[in-house]
Amino acid sequence: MTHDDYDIEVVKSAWIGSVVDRSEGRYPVEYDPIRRYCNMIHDNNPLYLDPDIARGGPHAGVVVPGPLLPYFAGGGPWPRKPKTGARRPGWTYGVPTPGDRGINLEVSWEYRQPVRVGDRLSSETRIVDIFVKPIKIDPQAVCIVTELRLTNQRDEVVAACRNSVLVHRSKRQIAAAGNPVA
Amino acid sequence: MPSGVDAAKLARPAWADAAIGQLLDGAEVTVDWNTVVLQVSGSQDWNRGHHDPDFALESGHPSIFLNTGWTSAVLFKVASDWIGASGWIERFEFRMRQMNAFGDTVRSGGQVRDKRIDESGRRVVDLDLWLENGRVGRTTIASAVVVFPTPVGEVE
Repeated sequence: MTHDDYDIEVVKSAWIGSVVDRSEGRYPVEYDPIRRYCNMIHDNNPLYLDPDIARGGPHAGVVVPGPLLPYFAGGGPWPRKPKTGARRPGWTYGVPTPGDRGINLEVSWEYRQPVRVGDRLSSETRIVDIFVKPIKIDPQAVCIVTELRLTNQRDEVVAACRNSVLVHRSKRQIAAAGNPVA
Repeated sequence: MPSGVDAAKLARPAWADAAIGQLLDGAEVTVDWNTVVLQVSGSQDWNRGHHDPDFALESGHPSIFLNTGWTSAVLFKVASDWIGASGWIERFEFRMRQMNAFGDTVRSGGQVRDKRIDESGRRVVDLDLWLENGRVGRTTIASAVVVFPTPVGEVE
């Protein structure tokens, strides 16, 4: 896609409001991914790691740290699940963009209730905004804003998230488009 | 079987004890290959920009950089360490302005910004959170809203 044939207004009218992903967790919430998450940041919190201590804690069991919730509503990076229904690939969820490299910019979470080991999570993602956001490495970078809703096995909303991702071109894509960036 | 964690270290602060301006404990980590490997393991984010230097360079970045999963986890930990077995983190927001890259020494921190009774009569504390490194200063700014339980015998 070149600068000349990319029309942000057309893209916005076609995509804003679209549900671009629905996903069910491959497995129920499990202890070990929580342990790996805690290992990543050296978090020894027993409410995340120790079933015996957590049972006597405020949530009566091990709970998922908020930032890890989306992991349990998806299939994980491997093996790939067949792309069916609303699911679309990659950073852009199928929204046309000049580039294909992504960076998360802003994330805003609302956590409504604890998620415990054994719960089953599902998610739905909707596009809520799209706009051009020039950055130093790419004046044609595009920002895509999504809203994610996570529900449990009782269809209760456990958390909601608004996420802004910036999709930009690689050096090669910029050079191929004939407008190298200094 | 010992779990390797220490329940005695689990804080139980009360809303009444929170003080505006109070600093929260953070942590410091130098981003080395061990950090990068733990990041991929813990987040299951296999985007090559976070672990493949050649891919990061070709994408226009000066280095690999730590991903959203790591960033959010380190920030969230500042708040969750502080509340321990008290309170509930109801809102958590962060804005990634600069990257935490390979070789950077990254520090997390936090501070009590406000302490209030919200419109529903709940006891709430607002936190400012951040990540910074020695190369560019503050890289990520964040905030959290913590709701504390009403003490037994009191009505919201």
